[in-house]
Amino acid sequence: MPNDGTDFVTIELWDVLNDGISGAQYWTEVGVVSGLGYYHNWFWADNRPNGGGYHAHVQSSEATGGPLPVETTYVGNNQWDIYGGNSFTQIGTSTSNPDSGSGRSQFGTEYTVNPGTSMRDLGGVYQLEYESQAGQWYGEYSLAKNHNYGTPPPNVPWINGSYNASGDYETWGGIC
Amino acid sequence: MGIAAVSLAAAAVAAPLATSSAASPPSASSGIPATAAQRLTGIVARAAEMDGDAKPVWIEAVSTSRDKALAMATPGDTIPGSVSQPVYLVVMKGNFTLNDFSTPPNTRAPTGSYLSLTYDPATFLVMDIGITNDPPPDPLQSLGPVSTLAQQK
Repeated sequence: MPNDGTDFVTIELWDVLNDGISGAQYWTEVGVVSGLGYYHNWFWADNRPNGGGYHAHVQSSEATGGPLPVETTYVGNNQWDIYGGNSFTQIGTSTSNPDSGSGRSQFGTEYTVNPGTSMRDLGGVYQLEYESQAGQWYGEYSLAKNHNYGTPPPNVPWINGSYNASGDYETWGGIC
Repeated sequence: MGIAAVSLAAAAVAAPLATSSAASPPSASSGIPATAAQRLTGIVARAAEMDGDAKPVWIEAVSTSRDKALAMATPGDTIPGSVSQPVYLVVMKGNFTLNDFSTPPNTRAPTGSYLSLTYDPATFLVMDIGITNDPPPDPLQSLGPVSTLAQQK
């Protein structure tokens, strides 16, 4: 991607506290970012209600290997524990951040470059899972669906994703 | 749904890491060296412009540890191992819209009157970002000598 200091690309998980389709209000997120001077750096972020604001945190460590698991978990008392890193450890804690009980998980990539910059973005998210209040983990499978956001100008490359419901994974790839 | 997990696998081509500074990382609570303050001034001025306010009311900076900086910049967020990490904490007041970091799809960029950033003293890369309408819970002076990087008259 262009080394312009303003653009970035991520691969990540968002856990938003509303339906998320038309935009999230409050959330936690965790993944890997490149651009803005970073190269495959682990990061996490949250946006909290009641004036809490938006916060993002970048680790100095570079994501290597893979697949690399990530997780955001509501642990009660308005607290979320954030897991990631190359060794899948807790890399952060978000407090004063209540769970709505009706949120939605989103998985995928985000990029900010304009078409024609020759950025390549290839990747996928696998084994999409959620945990019930009883502590049981379930695959998303047919509960999930693909969404391609943004409005591509006509006749320009655009990177779209594809969700495989039977395999429970989302993949994307292309040049923008 | 309050909990989710996923495995990531990606290959995205991106910019290399920024070049390292020749300056030695400071110890927490020491003042910011003049050369570092000068470099920070340029970096944060660009950050302010990118985030919608090229002329903040003021920009202040202090050298501290990352855990103390988080308590000011992103109160409520904690990071394991941050006690031993030195950072430069920069706080600015203005009208900001955070255009240059990740948010969920179709979400409006976060806005606020206070933009706080922590920088790695060795690389001058941003480590933490906070944007709110409330000032930090305590004066930056409580962390050590404060450098004023900009002040509108």
